[in-house]
Amino acid sequence: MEAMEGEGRSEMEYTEIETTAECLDSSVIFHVVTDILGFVLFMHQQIPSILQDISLEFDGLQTEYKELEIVLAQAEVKASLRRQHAGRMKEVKQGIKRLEKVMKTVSGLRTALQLMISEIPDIQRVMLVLGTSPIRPQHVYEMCFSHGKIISIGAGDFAKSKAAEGLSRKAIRTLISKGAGSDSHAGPTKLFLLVKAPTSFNMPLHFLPKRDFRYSKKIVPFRLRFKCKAQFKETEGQIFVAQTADSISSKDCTPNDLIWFQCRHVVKGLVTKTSPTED
Amino acid sequence: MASRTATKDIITLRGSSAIVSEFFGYAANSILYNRGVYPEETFAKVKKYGLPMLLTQDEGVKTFIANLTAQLSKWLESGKLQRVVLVIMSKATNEVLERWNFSIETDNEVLEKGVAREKSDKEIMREIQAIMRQIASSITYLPCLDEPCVFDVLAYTDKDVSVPFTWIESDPKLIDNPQMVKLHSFNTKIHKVDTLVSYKNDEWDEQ
Repeated sequence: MEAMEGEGRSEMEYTEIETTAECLDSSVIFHVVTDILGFVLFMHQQIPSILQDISLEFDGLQTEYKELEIVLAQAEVKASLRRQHAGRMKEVKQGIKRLEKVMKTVSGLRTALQLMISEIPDIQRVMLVLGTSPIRPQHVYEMCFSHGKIISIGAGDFAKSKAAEGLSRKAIRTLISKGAGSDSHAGPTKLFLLVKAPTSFNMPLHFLPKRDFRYSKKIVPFRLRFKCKAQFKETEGQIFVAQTADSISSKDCTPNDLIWFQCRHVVKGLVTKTSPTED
Repeated sequence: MASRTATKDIITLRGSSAIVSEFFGYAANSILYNRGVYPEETFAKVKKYGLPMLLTQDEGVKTFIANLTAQLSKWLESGKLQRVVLVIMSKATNEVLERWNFSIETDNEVLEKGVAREKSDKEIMREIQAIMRQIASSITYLPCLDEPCVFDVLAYTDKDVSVPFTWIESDPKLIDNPQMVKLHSFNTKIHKVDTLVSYKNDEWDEQ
């Protein structure tokens, strides 16, 4: 979709998604972002099946490889069986190699996002950019989180709750209804994750600051705003934040203090031998 | 710069009917697999629409779907088919849990005058691919079906259509207070197929 010349990006362009939950805790935000990420990768033909299935396939291949190693290490295996197992081992190894890179990157990205959310529990804007570079995207998905009570969960506690599951599903349904993925074309590209955070945020192993980041105005993004039931009230709200020395709050920052940070883990689409023609 | 205009292919009513009825067959299989109506191990992978598609190996279901698509093709050629709905119901209670609704609009001029249309096969396949991806990812946006389910297929036709004895009149098998998601469409220029899934709201699912 291309924007008309001169068309700005106003607040009106967000699709609101309301959750009945009292608040958007860190775990909910994490799972919503990663589930949408998986959806975007699959619908835009960057992975051959949904992320959950690829993950299962990858785990299955790794397990099978270890089992074959054990079998082949046994001296009493018949020669014919040994050849069979060796052949299968080669196939499994190729399968692992094919999926390893994307699985490793997704895992790194998930870790990076968890670390960031742990440090900035009131994260407000996240962006997924699909294209050869973030400034020249093919597709952009923006997520805005309007927090009620800000609740930082315990470190490492990103278990997926029913609430997170429900909200992810709602978000993906919204994207589908808006036509997400309908104009996708085959061919591997890259997926970038960007998060808006205070300038003081510092996590160089996982995120790089991108001051004055802007992407091409020709692209009309999909924009979702997540709102929880209890909106935060300035005068009487309470903020619950884990008492760590490193916690940073976006609320204390002016808009100028917030900049985009790009995740270093960039997901590269898998080359698939799909074609739009019948086989 | 190379032109991006795809070569257009001639599409006849018969050809379009074949494309659409074949699509129903694969879509039905994909829904049954992805919604867990039948166990995973009863499906085999094949390549279709440039995608890995799952086809049931259960002889009963296979025959049912084969007969279904053959009949749908006939109705499509006669221009009498308005809609096909795949209904998923609870095995225990018969309560309707999901309805996969495929609405069909047929070009009347093609029906009346027997003209052909032009559209790139690649473009049609690309549109079908998008729908198949949406079906394949349904676990990410529809409530889980946590109980054993059965399925049925409803065909909405014109009243004057000839109906084989293997088909019986039915109630619409609607869902009380359903939620709906509109999926992608595809268009052969003779038949336009819109897809919509309606489902019973899960208590955990956000409305």
